Amino acid sequence: MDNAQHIMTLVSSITIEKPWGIDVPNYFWFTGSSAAAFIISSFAHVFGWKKYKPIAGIALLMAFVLLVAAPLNLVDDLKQPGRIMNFFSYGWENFATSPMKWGVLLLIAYPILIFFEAQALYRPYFVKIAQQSRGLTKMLNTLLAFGNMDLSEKALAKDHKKGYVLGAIGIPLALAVHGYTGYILGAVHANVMWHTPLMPIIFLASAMVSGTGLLILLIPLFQRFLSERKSVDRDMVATLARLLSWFIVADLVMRFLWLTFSLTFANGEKYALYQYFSLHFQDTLWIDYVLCLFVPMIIGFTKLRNIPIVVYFGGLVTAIGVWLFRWNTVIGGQEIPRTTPGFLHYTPHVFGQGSIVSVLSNWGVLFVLICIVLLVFPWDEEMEECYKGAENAK
Amino acid sequence: MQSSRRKFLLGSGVAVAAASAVGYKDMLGSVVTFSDKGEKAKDSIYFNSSEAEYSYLNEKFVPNDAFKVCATTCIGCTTQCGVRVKIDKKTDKVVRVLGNPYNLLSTDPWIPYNTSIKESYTLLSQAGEFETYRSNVCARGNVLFDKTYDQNRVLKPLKRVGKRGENRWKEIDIDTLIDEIVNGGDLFGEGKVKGLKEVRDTKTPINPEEPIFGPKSNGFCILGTTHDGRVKTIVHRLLKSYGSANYMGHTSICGLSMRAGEAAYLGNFKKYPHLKPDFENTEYLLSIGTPPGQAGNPFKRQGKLLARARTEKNIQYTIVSPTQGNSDTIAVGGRSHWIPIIPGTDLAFVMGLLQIIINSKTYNASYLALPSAKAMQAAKDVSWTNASHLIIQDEEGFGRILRDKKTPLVLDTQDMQLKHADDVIEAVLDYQGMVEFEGKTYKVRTSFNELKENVNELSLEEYAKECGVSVDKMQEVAKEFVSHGRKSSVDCHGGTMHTTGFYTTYAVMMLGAMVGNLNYKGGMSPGGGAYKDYKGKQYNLFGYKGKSKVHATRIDKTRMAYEKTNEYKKKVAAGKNPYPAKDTWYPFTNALESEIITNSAKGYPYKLDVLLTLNSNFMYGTSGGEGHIKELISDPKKSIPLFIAIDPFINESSRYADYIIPDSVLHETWGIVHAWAGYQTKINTLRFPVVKPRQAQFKNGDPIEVISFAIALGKKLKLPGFGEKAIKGNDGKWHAFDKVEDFYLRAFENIAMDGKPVPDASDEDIRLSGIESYVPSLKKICGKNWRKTAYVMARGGRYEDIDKSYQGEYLSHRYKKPIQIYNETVGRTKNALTGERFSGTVKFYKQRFANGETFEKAFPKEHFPLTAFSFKSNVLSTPNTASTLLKEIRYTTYVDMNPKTAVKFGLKHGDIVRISSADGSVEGYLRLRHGIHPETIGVEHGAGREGEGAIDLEINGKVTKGKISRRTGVYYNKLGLHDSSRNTALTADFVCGSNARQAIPVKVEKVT
Amino acid sequence: MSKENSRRNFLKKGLEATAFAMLATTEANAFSSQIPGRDEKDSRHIGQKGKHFVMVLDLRKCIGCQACTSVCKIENEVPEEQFRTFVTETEIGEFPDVRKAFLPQLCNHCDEPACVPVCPTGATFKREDGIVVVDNDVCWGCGYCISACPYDKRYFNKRTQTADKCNFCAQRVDKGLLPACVETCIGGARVFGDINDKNSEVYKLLHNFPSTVLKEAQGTKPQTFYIGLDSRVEELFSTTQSLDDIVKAEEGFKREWEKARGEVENHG
Repeated sequence: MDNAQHIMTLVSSITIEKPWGIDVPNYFWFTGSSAAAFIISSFAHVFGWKKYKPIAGIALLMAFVLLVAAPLNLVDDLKQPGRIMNFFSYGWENFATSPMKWGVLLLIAYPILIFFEAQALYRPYFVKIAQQSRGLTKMLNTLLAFGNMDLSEKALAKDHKKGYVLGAIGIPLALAVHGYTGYILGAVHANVMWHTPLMPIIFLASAMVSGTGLLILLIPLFQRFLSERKSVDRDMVATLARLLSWFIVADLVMRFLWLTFSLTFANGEKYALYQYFSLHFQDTLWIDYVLCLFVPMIIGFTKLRNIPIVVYFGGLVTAIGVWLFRWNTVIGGQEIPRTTPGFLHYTPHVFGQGSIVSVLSNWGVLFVLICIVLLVFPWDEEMEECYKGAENAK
Repeated sequence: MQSSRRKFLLGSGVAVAAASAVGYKDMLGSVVTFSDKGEKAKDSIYFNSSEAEYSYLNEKFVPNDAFKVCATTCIGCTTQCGVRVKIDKKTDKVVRVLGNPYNLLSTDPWIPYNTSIKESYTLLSQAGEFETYRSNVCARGNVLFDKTYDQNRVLKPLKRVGKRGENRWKEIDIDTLIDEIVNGGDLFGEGKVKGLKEVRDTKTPINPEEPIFGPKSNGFCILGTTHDGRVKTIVHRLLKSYGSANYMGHTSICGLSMRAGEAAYLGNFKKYPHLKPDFENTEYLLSIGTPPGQAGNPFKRQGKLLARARTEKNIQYTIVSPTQGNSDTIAVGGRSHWIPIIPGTDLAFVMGLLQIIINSKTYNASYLALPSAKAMQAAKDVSWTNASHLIIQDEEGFGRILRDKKTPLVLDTQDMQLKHADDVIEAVLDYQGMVEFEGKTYKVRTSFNELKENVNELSLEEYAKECGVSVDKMQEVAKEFVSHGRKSSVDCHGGTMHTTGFYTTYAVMMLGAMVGNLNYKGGMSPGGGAYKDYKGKQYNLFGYKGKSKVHATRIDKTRMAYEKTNEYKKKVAAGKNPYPAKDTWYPFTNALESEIITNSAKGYPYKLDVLLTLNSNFMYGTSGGEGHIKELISDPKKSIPLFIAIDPFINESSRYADYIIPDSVLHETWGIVHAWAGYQTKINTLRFPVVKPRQAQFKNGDPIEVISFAIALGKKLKLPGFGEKAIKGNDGKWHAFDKVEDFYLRAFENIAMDGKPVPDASDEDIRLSGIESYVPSLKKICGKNWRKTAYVMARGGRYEDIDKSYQGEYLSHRYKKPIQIYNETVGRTKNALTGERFSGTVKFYKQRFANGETFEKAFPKEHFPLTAFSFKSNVLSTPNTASTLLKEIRYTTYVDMNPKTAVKFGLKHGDIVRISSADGSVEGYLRLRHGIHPETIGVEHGAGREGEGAIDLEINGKVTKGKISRRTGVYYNKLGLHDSSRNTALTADFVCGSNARQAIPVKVEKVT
Repeated sequence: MSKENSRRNFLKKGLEATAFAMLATTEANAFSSQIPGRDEKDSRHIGQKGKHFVMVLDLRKCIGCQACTSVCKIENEVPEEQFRTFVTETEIGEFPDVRKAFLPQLCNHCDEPACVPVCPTGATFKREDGIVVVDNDVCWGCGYCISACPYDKRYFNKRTQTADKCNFCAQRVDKGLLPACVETCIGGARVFGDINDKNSEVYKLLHNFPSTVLKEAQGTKPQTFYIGLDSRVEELFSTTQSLDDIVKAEEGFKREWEKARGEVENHG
């Protein structure tokens, strides 16, 4: 502080450590991206936006795998992962006040719901495969069809309705599953960066950005290399790019509201936040905002969106940018001292729990899960049928 | 999907799954087996805390049998507080240190001495009177027992392999070691080394030309550290029995300037008494460079009393120091003041104050006019001065006080007649002229007159310019100081360890004489004294048959005037100017550890043969040690042919030893100590092993340590005073001195029996103070007095009750001799290098070499723009580096600088800088703070170590790596200066020879 | 942990997991039980009824000596490089108008603690006598309480791998003694006692002198009170940087610590 009255020099102090490591931003990124993927799938399944129909299935599957992988981050961040049952056995008196408590219920309910929705979507395909095959494949697909081998119009309509209902329930649930992570941070009134009621919404907005960015990267990849199409739906890429831009707009609006209030109209605690942002001003501005938000936004809103490679770049930087935003929020928020002097520093370990390797392992798990769902679910056939349906409709 | 793609997904999926499982193995391992991470705590709620040593609930006292709690002394710093240690009986390890509520260094008010041990515990409980009797331990004392278990501790006797200082050793048997050092020989393949037996020649002069230097046995020299309760035993029982005069403690690298200046003020160069403010009751404290709570001794007590005085009483205090210390806190508002000052200029500041007080006549004139003890008594005062005594100014007898036989003569104000001081109530204070006595005319002046002239030698503006403190500020302080009269007090200590520290201290004390604060409640106190311990009612433990009366010149050239040497006499006889002498002499200094290595190297006054150090660390502690002594001590031929160190850790000094003898640590040791200063009642704090010492033992079961080694060595050398019939009881009976307890339990008995003997200890006292294991020895050694001795041991010492502190407005224990406004001894001593007379009273001098050349000239500002100083750490202390826990509380030390200065030199907070004096340099991280004078550089003392586990140590070929946490920080004393006016010597106070570590001209540069 | 123990633990936890799966469909009430120690009314969990322990830090008496910092580490065997309490030493103002300010810090044992309600396992809670404690047998190490503390006074104990903090030396207080930091406070700045007792020193101090708490706006109602606290000291983030961490990192000390820990584990 410039005011001579406030000159304080430190002679001696002790720095304390902070609890949450690299796993936590990764977790937030995963849940956020999952929620986003689910919402995009719901564009078709719930809102009936035909444009998104071909990618709704794969988006739903991505929502599923991201959310199955995500909690591993949490478990890994625990100092006592072996005591995971304590969570279920005790502490229910804090249910109302501990968003972490809600999270577990959501984390259990949400993937189950997605699974059932996906099952409803893919059941006819499972039945078809079961009918055409023998042995293990037949058994597996019969199982996935829950033994319901009925392909009648009525049955298909029932599937469709089930998908619609589950999707409709899923939207608030998806919002909640990621919104609660915003709650976890927002509820911490001790943390000047986190403590804002906007936090769940900020998280959702940025989640939409990262989730769309991820789909922009994955869907073309799947289409080009793993499906029979062997080519990328460039219109879809452009559509997603434009969607991404709107999400970025929403994200920027939320962040604008957040930062203007917390830095300008907040109480005395804003000074610590000033201090933090002045320490990180350059990297935040250029990387977080210019490179990872403004550039992709411009891509989506201009003709650049018709050049797939540019869009992929945009998708990649938004995905990374949101990851960095999660990092800056979780780790940066913890950097701000409370009654200790100086800003703390966190460097993740390479090995062990809560390390860089943990996060890589989590991505590995995601990869494995993607492999599994791609193998088990007839996503390519479904996608093709949607494309066909769309062409037929023309 | 195509099957190739399926295979790809399947294959890569399996591979990645395996990799992820490996990456997650730490987490998965626990989740799958539901197993806990980490170590299980001892208790679910209390974590790993140790159980309470007792409980006191519903007025029921229940001791915890898992522990014993013993009273002992902490020797983690020189304060030496009485503490209690909680020992886990199962492991025989200390688990916690607590204050001893009987001991005034840990407690104030302390509990009455006759309180039962049980009550002493319950008083400190929630239901007791904790707030009254809170008894505590400092940051050091609380943790440093962990050094007992440090892996760098020396547990077996060592002999060096390779060259001195390489820190390579092999373990040897203690009997072999003693045999080697006694008999000498070619011990290291470097030629013959004289053993202690050969050196012990008590007849042949060590220097045939100077018989006054004494016999060859003076070639054996012992260096100690502080008086840790074992030193006196060694001096009286070993050194004097051996026949050497050469023992030096650490005072010359600690606070000798202060001690010598106060000894001059108090007129006693034998006992070196010193004063401390009565912190409890003083109304105005002027502290020159020793902020209570940050520095000074007693550290804890001063801090406690200051905290209380500024909160509950009426104190105002001013700290004059280059750095804002921990005495201050903004929480006490305007009670605390800081005057920043450039190191080494404090004398100018104090001279300015004296000038203001004297010229404005705001001193206590009637007090200063009291010429004798009789006059003092008549005036119902409690101290007096020689301010009115007359100093002869004639060439013949210059500087002598005019006396009739032994009685000083003064001028009576009543009739201006010369009379015996005893017969005068009010003497003339300020006089210069002629007096006639017994038919002879003398040119005389009063002490006060000389003082007045000296303080007016410079103008106030000139003093202000010297010290950088404004005239207004000086006026303000002087006014405040005299306004509190006898409840004003002064203090100074290590800040005066510069080349003019002696006069600085003398001047600081002189302020006290201006208000007459000696022996007053709230004024200055000489301390409360102690019960008789070694020479007591039951035994004279220092008396034995064959103890030599050593008349010799000490290796440090102290306690001896140059004018008594043949060197001087021969020059005079030859009609030559006897000055300069070959080197300085210090007739009224008592010991100079910092001079012995250089003196022996020069062979002036003579060469040493054997050096024995007791936990001493003269290298780290001496300003300039690394730069100048290192070279001399590394080569056995240069200064010390045989160097034996008794040291539990190999430090910067013992690293150069030829042999290391292990020692007990802290709570494993024996000893008796007194409070050093700053207390008003009698106190003896004692200690005895309360945990089993870890190091190797002698055959009789005594662990190898200072005293047991002395016994073994004494027996081997067949010295008087060891073995059979070595300790004499006052009842005429003789006792053996074979084991350490033979000596110390008797000393404890002396303490117990002094004056009115203490009561008997009850069985409960003995049980609750953990001394049951001593009962058999007590019964054997102390006979019928064993329970009385146990009473003292149970309480960790003997302490006079607090109500004996004061008698009305006076202290109970007073200093009896007169204050020396003019010190005749000093006034009649000449500088051996220049022949210049020292001033008998305070006088202003600039920082200088021994021959008078000023630093200003030798180290011009344009080359050395800043002045460096070190300051006492409230956490670190030199011998405790091996405490790993202590380094957690204070990890490292920095180069402290004012931000304004940093701007000037283009430096930033956190830069690595090099500080260089003319003779040494040191690097460190720069810490910017406003609480430091812009023209200075400050370093907290105690880090940047090169011993005690900081560097690699090899024993029997096995290397223990040095620890970064011990090396880190700034080794300030590397900046130490060489005195270019002397041959091979470090800068020192030009009067008393104290090592000058403060006020070193330096420059600073960024290390790139 | 011995093999047998771990096996038993495995079975126990396994049963719990099964039980949970079975009960998942029944009412949530089945899980609202508190941790075992509280249900069993264990005195360590309940504390001393009728009392309300508080600490007063009279900064006029603090000399920044760190005796409290150091005794706490010993008394509670706080792992290396970790602290339950410490004293920040700062200088306020510009040369030569510089004043020292000390801030002894510890868990505030808030009446409305931010850490307790967020705990998903109920491992941390406030005892009836006001002491906020952590049950390290229950804590699963999620760190939410550490994040929630407005005073940065919780940390993960490196050895037990659970949330740890000052508990007013409950092990001593429950035996009628005092917290170690209070026992060793040289200046007498730390005063501890039962605020419900009108004869207690804490009651007298708080009723005779103005006092304040840290970060009152957090609404946590701290029960650690300061006398003579300068509000600027709360803005510690605006001080100059603490160099210790930088120096430790640059000198490689952190690695040395980790190595030293490894050695301890190997030999122990």
